[in-house]
Amino acid sequence: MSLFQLAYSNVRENRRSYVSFFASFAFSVMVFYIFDAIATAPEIAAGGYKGAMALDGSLHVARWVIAVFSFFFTLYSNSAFLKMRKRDLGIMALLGATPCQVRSMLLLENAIIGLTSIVAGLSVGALLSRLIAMATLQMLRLDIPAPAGLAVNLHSIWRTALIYAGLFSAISLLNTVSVRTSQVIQLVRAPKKPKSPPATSPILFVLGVACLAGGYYVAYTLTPWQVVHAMFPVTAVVCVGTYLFFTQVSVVVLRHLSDRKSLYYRNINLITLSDLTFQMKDNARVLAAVTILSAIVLTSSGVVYSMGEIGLREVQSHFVRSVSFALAGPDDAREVVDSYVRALEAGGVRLEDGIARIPYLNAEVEKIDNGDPERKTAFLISEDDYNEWAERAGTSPIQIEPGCAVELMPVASGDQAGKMEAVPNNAIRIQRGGHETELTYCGHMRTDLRAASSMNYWYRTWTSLIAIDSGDIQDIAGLGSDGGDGVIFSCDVENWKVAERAEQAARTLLPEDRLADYTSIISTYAEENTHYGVTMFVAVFMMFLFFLASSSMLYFRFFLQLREDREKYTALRRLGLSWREIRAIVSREMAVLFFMPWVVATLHQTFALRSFATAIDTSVWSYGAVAAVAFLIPQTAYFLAARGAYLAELAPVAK
Amino acid sequence: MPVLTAQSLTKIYGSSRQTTATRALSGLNLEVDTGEFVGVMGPSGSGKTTLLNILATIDTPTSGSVEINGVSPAKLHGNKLALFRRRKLGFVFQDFNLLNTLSVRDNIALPLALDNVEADGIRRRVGEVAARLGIAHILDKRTYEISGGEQQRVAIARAIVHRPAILLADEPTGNVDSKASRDIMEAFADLNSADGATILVVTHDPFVASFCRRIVFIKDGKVFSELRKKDGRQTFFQEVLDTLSVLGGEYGDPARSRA
Repeated sequence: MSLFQLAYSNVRENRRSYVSFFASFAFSVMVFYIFDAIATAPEIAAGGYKGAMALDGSLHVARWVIAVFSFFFTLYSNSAFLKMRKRDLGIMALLGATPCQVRSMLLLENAIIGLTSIVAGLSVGALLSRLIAMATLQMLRLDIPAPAGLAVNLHSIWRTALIYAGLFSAISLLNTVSVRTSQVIQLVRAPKKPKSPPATSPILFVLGVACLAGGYYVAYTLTPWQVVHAMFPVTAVVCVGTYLFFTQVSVVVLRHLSDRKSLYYRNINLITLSDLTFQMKDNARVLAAVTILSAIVLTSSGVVYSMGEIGLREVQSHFVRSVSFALAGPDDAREVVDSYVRALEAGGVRLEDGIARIPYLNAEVEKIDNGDPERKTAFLISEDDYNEWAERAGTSPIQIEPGCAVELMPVASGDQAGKMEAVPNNAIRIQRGGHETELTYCGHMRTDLRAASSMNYWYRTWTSLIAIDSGDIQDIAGLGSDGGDGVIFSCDVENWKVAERAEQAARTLLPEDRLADYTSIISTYAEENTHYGVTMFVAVFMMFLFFLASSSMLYFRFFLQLREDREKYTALRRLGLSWREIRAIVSREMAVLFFMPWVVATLHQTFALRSFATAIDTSVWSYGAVAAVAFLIPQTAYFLAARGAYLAELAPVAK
Repeated sequence: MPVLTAQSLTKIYGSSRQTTATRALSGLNLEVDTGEFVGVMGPSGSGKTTLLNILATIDTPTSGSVEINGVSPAKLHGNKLALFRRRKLGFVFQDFNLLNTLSVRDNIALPLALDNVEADGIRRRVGEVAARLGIAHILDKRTYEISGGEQQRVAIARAIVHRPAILLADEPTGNVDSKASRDIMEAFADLNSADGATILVVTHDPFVASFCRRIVFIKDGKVFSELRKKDGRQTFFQEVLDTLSVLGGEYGDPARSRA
């Protein structure tokens, strides 16, 4: 049997233990490829959309974070895997295999795994990257088909293959050299070596508690100015604190629980508490790494989520009315508006009562007051028309004396619709069809007639709206016409968050050259949502990646001790432990290992978000909570799956 | 009064249609009375381990019945069976099966804790049993800090701490030196004579068996003969050796995989 055959059959025979190692490596390859392919796709990298730069940047950074992360992950899982195979290696050495042969065999085995997992990762990545690219483009609302080049991006394939082949060779070499075949007895007996109980040191315990408490305290009391400077030192201190939490604090707490004999000697507590004391310390490095990663991911998704939500909420708060516009056309404006409404309704848009269709006269106005005269175009509407609408819409009516003009301004924050502000001793000149008339400018009133965002008003992108006594407006209409008269339309939409498509379709019915001041929460919201969606997409994708990687680390860790656990549970079974109790022990131990990082990470995140909230001057707790729960759901699913798989492995000996 | 009654136990491994089917037990009968100290001996492949596994309720016979304290474990399932095993049986294994995450004290306390005995009661009972087996001074040590003989005495303490109806031991001295073997068997003999504990030991070692008061020899899955101790242990040892020479067969160390 050649060395290659031996290595090949080893992989085949050990495939169960190899599988998680293989899968995790293939997974890293896949994720790197997807990020690389998407980041380098010109459609996305050079897109002319808002946020393109940020997306491009985050994709590139994400790529390298993944590479670094997978290096450590692979290093870890590879050495863990070797530990599991120590016995086999010892037996080979016992049979007289030279150290050189053992190492060559290991290297060959590793090469087989490395190559197959790179191929597997790239194949799945090629399939998925197209899907993900299409999803991204869809979200960016770029109307181009996902280019075929994206599915099989040769540059990315080569880059990924080279980077991961190099990474894997380095790790295999590192680990293989560290196998000491001269100490055969240690290899053969390695799994039987008893563990000594975890030792704790009071100094380290205090240091751990101090690091966490100090980090939290600083994060909690930061002023906005200090956040930027404090961020890195605080993160470093909390990282140290997290590590010490698992090596020292958790052990001390578990010991303390074990000392309370009435608790400790209750049923399976005896086994779970003592097991956990060992496992916490044994797995401290993994648990700390997973916790810190989760905290970073949780915090950043909390930040992304809250930024997006705050943006969307701002959109919402700016609009007092869903849609409004002015359509010129003295003859058919009303019919066009009606067809627009019908199109909306046909598209599933639910309009609330109080639709406004108010005829207006187009005029040039000049306000005369103490300052410079200011000429602008204005829409003049009659008091009666306004009040007729106001009554239907349930808003405040207006009262105008003959000879008086009242400007209608959008509701600004803090104002009520109908709030009137009188301005004494001003006049307004109205020009129409070459004639001019003068009225008293009596002041302005806040109205929610138009879908105003207050921005429209302040930036003067809107045409002024002036209400006049119904008798006066007849006179002004008699002055002549420039054909610019029409109808002001506004409505409230019940399902405005999902009405984008219908609104787009209906808008095509409105001739653009006759349309003015088209303002709509539907399209503004949809646009904002898209930018937010892309950022969220990247964030969720990263989150998903880190989640899978960290859970796999824990899962792998658990399967490493399967052999020992089998012996343990066989013994317990003989002592009369029921399968139900064994399940309970496994579930509890696994649950603590799986969810402890989440609990600590959520705590970290809470404090980190607190300092973020200080910096942007808003509360983000609830967004953080959403991110944490979003993380918890797949984590729970993974936990249940891992627990099921583990119990299935134990069932033959313990059921 | 019998604590344990086994009637025409048969165990066939592999289905009867397969040519590879092996008959580990064929119609074995055994009865153990309260306060007895019984040894089961037999050559390799005689069915000792199978018998013990069936008595220990971790294996089921193909046919035949077992009754322990008037209860037939074959009729119990799942949790009830586990509870029965936990309360009525005590086990001592060749490789101790102590949990190395637990201290000596906690290992002994385990069966009581599983039965939700309150903490004070556990402490008292563990102290009693430890004193009884001469391991009171090592209660706070870890399992790997003590010798093999001590580990096995800890395992015995764990097996009797809940006062089982019968104590089953499988090659209890298989992993220790001769001095420790003597200590362990004397501990068994003492528990039997002083406390009236009912004990069944499976062994291939005539020296170990000579501590018992009755020895059942099995061969090819059936009881071959029986020997009762009349005079001292030395004489009994000689009688065991004589019976074994008649019995024939291999007396090597049994394969670890079957332990």
